[in-house]
Amino acid sequence: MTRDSRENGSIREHVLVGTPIAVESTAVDGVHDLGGIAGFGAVDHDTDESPFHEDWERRVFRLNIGSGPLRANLPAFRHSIERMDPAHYLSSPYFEHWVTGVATRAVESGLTTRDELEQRAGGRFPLSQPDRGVLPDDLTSRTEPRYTVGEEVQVREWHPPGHTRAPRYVQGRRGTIARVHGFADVDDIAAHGGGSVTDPFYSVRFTSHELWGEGGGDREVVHVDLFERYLKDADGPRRSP
Amino acid sequence: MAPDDHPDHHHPTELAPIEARVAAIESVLVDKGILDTAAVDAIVTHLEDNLGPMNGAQVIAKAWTDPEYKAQLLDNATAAIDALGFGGPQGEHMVVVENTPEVHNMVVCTLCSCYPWPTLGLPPKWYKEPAYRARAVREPRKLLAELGTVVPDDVEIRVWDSSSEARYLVLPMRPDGTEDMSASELAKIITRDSMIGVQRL
Amino acid sequence: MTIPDDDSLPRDNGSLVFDAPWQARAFGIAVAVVEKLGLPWDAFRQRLMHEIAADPQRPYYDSWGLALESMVVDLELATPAALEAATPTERAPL
Repeated sequence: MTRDSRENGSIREHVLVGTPIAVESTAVDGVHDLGGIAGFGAVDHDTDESPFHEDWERRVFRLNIGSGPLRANLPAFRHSIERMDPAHYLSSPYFEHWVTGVATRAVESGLTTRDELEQRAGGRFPLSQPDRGVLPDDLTSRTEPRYTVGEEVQVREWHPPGHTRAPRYVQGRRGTIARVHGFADVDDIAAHGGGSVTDPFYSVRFTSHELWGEGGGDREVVHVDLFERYLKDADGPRRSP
Repeated sequence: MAPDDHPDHHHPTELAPIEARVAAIESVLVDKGILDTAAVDAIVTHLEDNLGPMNGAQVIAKAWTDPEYKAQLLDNATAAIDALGFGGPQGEHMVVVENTPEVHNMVVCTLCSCYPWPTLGLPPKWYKEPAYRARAVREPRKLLAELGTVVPDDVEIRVWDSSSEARYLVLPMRPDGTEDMSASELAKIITRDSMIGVQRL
Repeated sequence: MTIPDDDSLPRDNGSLVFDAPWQARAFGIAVAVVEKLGLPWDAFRQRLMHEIAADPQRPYYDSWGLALESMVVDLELATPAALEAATPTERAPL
């Protein structure tokens, strides 16, 4: 997403909405953003407490913990996984995501090349797609909360091409401030080289019907931790009780 | 050039087995002097051995037997948990949510796998996989029932999506018939799944 | 802090994401010392709890550092004078 298309929001609205466009993956709302997606079936639950089921998983965990600068920026590391090819993400075990993410970061930082990795591995070594994140215009650090417990808020809808911690299933939805958590570094900014920019963050309470309409469940609510910059004052009537 | 943009390059067609890919990236990191496997091994062993639900269980058992501690835990969980020596990585901002006859709490991370390591250890496989992450926020009552936890229709189910800095721990209701048990005896019956919120004790 | 120079001491675990490199080092050193001496982790944790109780407002890793120092002294790995005199070792930034 170029700076121009971001500033000229009207171009995006009038030209792009409803127009089928074949673009190289803009990776909005990545495949990792799983809340509410259907079709995954039963949870393969077990009470086993060992975190690693195979030796290679422990080895991956170990190399990630010790990968220093490649993992020091946790939002950037998370985003390196979010940028995986969707089919690869969904069809690979969890720790394969970590391998792919750290290897991608290693190549992007010039530590190695994909060729070198493939030579060493003796086969294809898929990496993540390029990072298409952009920094927002507003890089002001804030610490004083604007909202108080009980206030109605609405989540903005902006579906960024890069990293965010606003899940797709709450964007545009209306909720109530349930807790005022304090302030923290905004992940969306840290992930893309913007450094430490703080924002107050809240636990926002959404009813299931607000999120899923008629398909929602009675007396089911979801609390999502959201940065203040994701929110705006609620406007208009509630979608659903 | 971005990692996957090599139009003139021929990548091997055969996918390298995951073990080989792990060995490849590990060898790169070792060769570049970034990874010291023996040193980090000590850290990983520590995380495996010393972090786990037995820690969270001590927090819960203390809350059940010490009303003053329980009040502190609900007011400032980070400080209360730190005070038992259970602070640390992925536990820097803790929130404890209490189950009551009216409310059942459940924790998920839809976007990745955020989990309170110091009190519950490293997360189990199912917690990190798509089925749980997708369904916990969409149909929690049904999902819990499938996992053997029936929450009556008049009880509110409150799902906490760990989307930011905070890590959540559920304070389960104390089971009937445990009035005479000591904190250490109680800790033995408090399970990982009850502190995630997919089980009632 | 003077700890016997040892290849098994972790040199970099910054990716556990601490506020500052010294915290990562303190974390790693506590782990290494406890393991190397074959102590149960609880031996360190009890000291940590004691330090936190002594000053609950103190940042967590400051209490951690003090617990580590007390353990090192009590186990005679270093003397208080040596700890006082030790200059922080320079480390490359993460």
